[in-house]
Amino acid sequence: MSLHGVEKALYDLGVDRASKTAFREDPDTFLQRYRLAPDEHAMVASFDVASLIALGVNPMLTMGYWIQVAPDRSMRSYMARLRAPSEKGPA
Amino acid sequence: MAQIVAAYVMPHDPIMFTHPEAPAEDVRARVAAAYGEIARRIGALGATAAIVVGTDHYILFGPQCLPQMLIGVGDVEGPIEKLPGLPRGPIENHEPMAEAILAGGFADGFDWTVSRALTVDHSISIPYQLAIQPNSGVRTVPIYLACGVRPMIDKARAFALGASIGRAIAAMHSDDRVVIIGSGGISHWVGTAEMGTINPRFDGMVLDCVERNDAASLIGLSDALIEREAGNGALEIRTFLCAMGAVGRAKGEVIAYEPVPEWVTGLGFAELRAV
Repeated sequence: MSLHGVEKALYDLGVDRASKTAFREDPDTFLQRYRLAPDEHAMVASFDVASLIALGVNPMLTMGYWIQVAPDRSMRSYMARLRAPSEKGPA
Repeated sequence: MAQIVAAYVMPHDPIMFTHPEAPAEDVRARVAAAYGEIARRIGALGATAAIVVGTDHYILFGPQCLPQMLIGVGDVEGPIEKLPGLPRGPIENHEPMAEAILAGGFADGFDWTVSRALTVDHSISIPYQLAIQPNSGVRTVPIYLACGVRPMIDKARAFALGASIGRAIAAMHSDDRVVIIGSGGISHWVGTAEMGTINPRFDGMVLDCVERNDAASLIGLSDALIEREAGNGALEIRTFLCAMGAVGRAKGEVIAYEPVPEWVTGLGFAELRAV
């Protein structure tokens, strides 16, 4: 588990323009910058915000990166995803 | 001699700006009137300076550096977020006051983090633009406490920091009349599955403590209880405690309370007038 690395990745995706661009272009390559376990990498790439929060990630970060880089950036879809954690995330 | 003439608590809900027409018109009017009433009182008190105690939302400060307490002693501008109706711009600091608070804190054992060029977020900008800026000539000292990201500042320490701020103001050789604003709360869940829930009972208890100037009861609330009853956003009552510590002996009054599900927050406004 590398919670700090997950939080750093989400923080960068929430506030840093270059990180957002790199993630949108190639999420897997972008996430290799961070020391993430394979399941953590998958959670971030698939926007599995419920699992990220269960992991201990600060919810302000999950919300922030969703608003910035999720395919559907709306809060309505964020809340739907939070409350239906078993669903697969956007491809 | 400078003096703190009043403390206020008020919310900094950004959804008021992103979805301004979501609540019913009468609710919106009462919330706007509460900010307006505090602005009016700050003017009537003849305030020359306002200290705003805000909290970061994992935007200004990242995992690489998480200050417990930060003071802006130089240039200040913001907000960093793009919020409709909350334009970004400079905020005039009271630099001698900020330096006095900094020096006083160091003497009291508080290791402030210092910002010489600070971009603030909405937790400073909303109180500033709605309650301070309407009064021309009131300079603003921005302070951040760690309320939303662990490790958070201990609640008793937030109160003690406020007392240090109060002593630093009282030792200044100026005629400044100072208000201090605790920005945040009350009940709200930020980014969690419970977002949209409000706990008016908890909010009423907090406002009652502020009105009675009962810091001890707020300090006695565990973070686990606060998060369970009122959400991670309610941990921001640390800013209230800082303001209460600064003002010292005071007479309290709840100005307004509105539980607004559309804005996902219990919005509380109160005054502690120094006596």
